[in-house]
Amino acid sequence: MERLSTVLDAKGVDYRQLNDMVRACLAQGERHIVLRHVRGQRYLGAGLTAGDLLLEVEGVPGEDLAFCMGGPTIIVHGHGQNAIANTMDSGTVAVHGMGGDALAYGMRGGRLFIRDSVGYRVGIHMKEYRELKPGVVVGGTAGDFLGEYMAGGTMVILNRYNEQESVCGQADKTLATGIHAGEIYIFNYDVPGFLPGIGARLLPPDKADTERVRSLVEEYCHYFGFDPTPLLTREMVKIIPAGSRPFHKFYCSAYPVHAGLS
Amino acid sequence: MCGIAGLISLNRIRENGSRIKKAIVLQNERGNGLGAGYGVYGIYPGYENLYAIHIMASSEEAINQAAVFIRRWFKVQKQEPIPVWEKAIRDHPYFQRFFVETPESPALCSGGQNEDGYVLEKMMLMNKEVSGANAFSSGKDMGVFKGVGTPRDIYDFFMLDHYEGYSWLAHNRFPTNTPGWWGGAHPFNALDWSIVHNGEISSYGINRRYLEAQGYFCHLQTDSEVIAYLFDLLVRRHGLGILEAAAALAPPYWATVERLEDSERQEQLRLLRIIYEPAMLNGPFAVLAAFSGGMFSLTDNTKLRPMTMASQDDYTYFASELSALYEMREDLQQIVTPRAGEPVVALYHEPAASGEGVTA
Repeated sequence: MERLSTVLDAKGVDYRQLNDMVRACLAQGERHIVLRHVRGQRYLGAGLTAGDLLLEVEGVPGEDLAFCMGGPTIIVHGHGQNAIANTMDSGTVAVHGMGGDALAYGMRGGRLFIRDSVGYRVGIHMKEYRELKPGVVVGGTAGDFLGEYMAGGTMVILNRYNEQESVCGQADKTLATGIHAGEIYIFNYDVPGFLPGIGARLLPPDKADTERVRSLVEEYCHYFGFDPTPLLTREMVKIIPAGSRPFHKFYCSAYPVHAGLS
Repeated sequence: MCGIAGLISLNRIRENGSRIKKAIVLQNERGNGLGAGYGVYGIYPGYENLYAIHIMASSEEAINQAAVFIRRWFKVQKQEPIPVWEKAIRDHPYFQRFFVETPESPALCSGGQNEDGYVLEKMMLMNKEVSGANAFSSGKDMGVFKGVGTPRDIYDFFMLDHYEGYSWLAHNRFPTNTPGWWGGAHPFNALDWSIVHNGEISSYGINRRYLEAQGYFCHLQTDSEVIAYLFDLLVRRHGLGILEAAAALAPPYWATVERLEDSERQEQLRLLRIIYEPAMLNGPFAVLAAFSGGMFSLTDNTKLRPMTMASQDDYTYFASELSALYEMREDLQQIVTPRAGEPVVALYHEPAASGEGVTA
């Protein structure tokens, strides 16, 4: 038997109450919840673990959407704000619009799809462990400090409109600074030499990379109704760590281990 | 994590505070009830050529001393209590406003400076000399209303439904390193400049020493006040444009400057950075500033605090969180998040009837 969806009107509702309402619906066995007139309410989907939950958000959800979420699918019909998918474990978030700063911070698994562009510090400290590998696809461009201290997972900057400026930040040595695991793919953009930070290395993708990116981009396109083929025929570049300890030499000279203290 | 909201009618169409209230109340979670405030331009028609001085004081005695001080240095056209609704906030200072002109006798003006300079100098002097009183708003045809409370409390306390202005600033404070007190709420004002700020100014010490050497008196126990004085210094006194002042306060990285192909721009940025090194703001900040010519936002060049904006039908809207933009207008077509260090400037189409021209 197909379940009907539950519609909750979020207009003027405080975020604590709204999250309580969602949890109450979940406890009653609802698995398709639609939130109408959402405007800035924080922490939606935070900590939820029901793998079969579909949460649809109409409007603009507030900070920390899907924080520590493990399982559900969230679809946002509107723009997103900051810190989406913060420390998220698994599940999927798809935003039909733009995203703010510090998305996917410390993300540990699952998928984050942003239809348009995102702000600064996206994918900082993203990580992976065995089968848990987070994937992020950004349809437009990203700001400085993309993938700073990245420790795992895959991030794709799709650059759908083929911008030729500030596709992955604009300030010196901010792109993937301190990356020590994981990978970033940038489409159709000649990454300027001054952008990559300490420990970041640019390489052409190999066949396995292309397949991995194809699968992520197809999933992204599925949510937003785009044709993946023309997007995937464009060139891309891969950014990976030069080594597993990017600051090894950096700190050694400044703070010698044998300083006579031990 | 303070909250910011602003709106400006480029055609100077007046409205009451209900839209800006919605935008800042939506961001209630960004503050903690220890400070909120509003700045509004175009609210004193009939008095637009007079300086409107808002005073807060800890006692009636202090109000009286402030009145004596103001009457000594200015021609007071009108003095009245600022109306407040005490049910919103019971424990509050005393408020009084004065509509004043500078004296005609040039002997009273020190150093041959203009009217604006005279007014600011006397405000600084009053804040230093009159114990328990503080002039927190001194521009023409504008006013700052602020204090300790949530954005809703402060709005209701000052009854801002009853004021109509063509640009509004709002702030929701989350005091971190400095006390939450009535004078420490935002906006901070110097003549027609008002600023609201989210973040912290780590360079406060050097900025303050620089400003104090130029005659400014930093007395509000908070870092943000230096921003208002810096804009006053750079734009009014030194004659910089808004974009030049923004480049001095939030300069691009040296590496970015070195890479510029436009050598004239490169040299200009170098000079600004060298000349105004002690004015440079360090630390995370998003600032929204309003003045007689319009309104603009500015963030630090690593974008450590959020700012979003939208422009539609001769209005420009600013907010820390983009959901708050929709509180001011439901059908916004395009939202913009300014890049790090990039000022977004919205100027009125026409200068005010009494206003001076300001360039971007």
